[in-house]
Amino acid sequence: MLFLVKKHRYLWVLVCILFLCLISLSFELKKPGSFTFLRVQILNFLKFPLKAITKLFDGLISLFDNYIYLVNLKREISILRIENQRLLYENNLLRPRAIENNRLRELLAFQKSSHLKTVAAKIIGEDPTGWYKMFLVDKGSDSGIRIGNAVISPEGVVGRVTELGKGIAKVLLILDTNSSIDAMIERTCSRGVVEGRGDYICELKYVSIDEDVQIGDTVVCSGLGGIYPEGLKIGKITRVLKGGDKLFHYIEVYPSVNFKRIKEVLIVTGY
Amino acid sequence: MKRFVYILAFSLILLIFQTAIFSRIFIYTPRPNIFLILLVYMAIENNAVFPLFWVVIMGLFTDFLSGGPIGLFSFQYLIIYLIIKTICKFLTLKLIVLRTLSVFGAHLLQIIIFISTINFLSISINQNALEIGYLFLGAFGAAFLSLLFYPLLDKIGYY
Repeated sequence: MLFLVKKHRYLWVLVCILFLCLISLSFELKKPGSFTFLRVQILNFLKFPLKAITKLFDGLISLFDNYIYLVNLKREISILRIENQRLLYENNLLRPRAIENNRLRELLAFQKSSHLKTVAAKIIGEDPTGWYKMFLVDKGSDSGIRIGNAVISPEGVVGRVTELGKGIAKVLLILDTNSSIDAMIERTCSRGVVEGRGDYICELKYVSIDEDVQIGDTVVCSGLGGIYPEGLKIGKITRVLKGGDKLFHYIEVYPSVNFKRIKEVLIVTGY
Repeated sequence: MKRFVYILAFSLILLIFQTAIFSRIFIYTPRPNIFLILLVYMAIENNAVFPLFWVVIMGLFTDFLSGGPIGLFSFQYLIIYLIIKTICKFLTLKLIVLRTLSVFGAHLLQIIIFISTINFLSISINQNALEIGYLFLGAFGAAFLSLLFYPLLDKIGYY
């Protein structure tokens, strides 16, 4: 027996590793959150390189934009070209900051006007595999954030916190199939559940076939479930399929948040 | 041991790059898996045993960063690594064309293993990611990236 193990030790190591992977996988599926401590430690370890690389990339993009703009400027014929170049170059350096400033000002205004206690966070990463809709943000338990806290933006609901470290958190987006929000149609107060589909559209489910639903209706959080504040915008209805022998409408909701462009979010820590 | 640490550090940087930056470059298209490209390269070029542990560790880091359960991606990466290593015993995959085809095949294989695993374990999955055209596009993107990436790795003698 020992001889067989020694002869095929590479194979035995491989079998053991595969077995361990399957065990951990089924263990975590049966008891979600089993490896929370390990996950938190790894997230804490990875937050610094994630933040550094995001900052570096932003700097490179800004440099590239400046270069393209300066190349275009060479075509202009003007006595004041030198002065114009200097002023435009300064303006170009300031423009991305102005855009960012406007964005952050809007975020701050929303934060101040809202009755919610929120923490602003920057998005520093997404799911590397592309199979799950989630963000990584640069704030964590040290900012008073807890697992289950709602994540929002001035445009609407973004998602909720599912994992937490010190200075980093994972946010499950409303676009993910594992996300569901108790919602209602603002105009008629018809209740339903908004579930992610995995693309950039959500579905509003369990709205009875007798309810009046129209394209363009706004869908908001109902406040039930205790995670998302009542009245927070989720999106607009873009498609309704009525009829047939089904009990419920088939409703598509286009989220009000632009998930492809969003850079900062607010995490709700209290009401 | 030193080489193992260097390779692990390099792979970790690539994974962090994939997490932080790739989503901002590939906004409207599926993202190629840069770690999978590296995994195929290691499977074809490297004869040592240690890459097995490297695959498991990097798979675990991917599990921690993604939204899935622990063990999901390490399992997939191990299977892909083994399949490529087995094919390498009968075929030489060191030609550029064959390496590129291997990357393309590895991406499609990863998708097949992933879908089989999640169906077997009844995990819910994002519908968009299952569209055939979307999947092939991701695999094509990865194959194209490998054409740029592999000559660089050959030059620095990565393995």
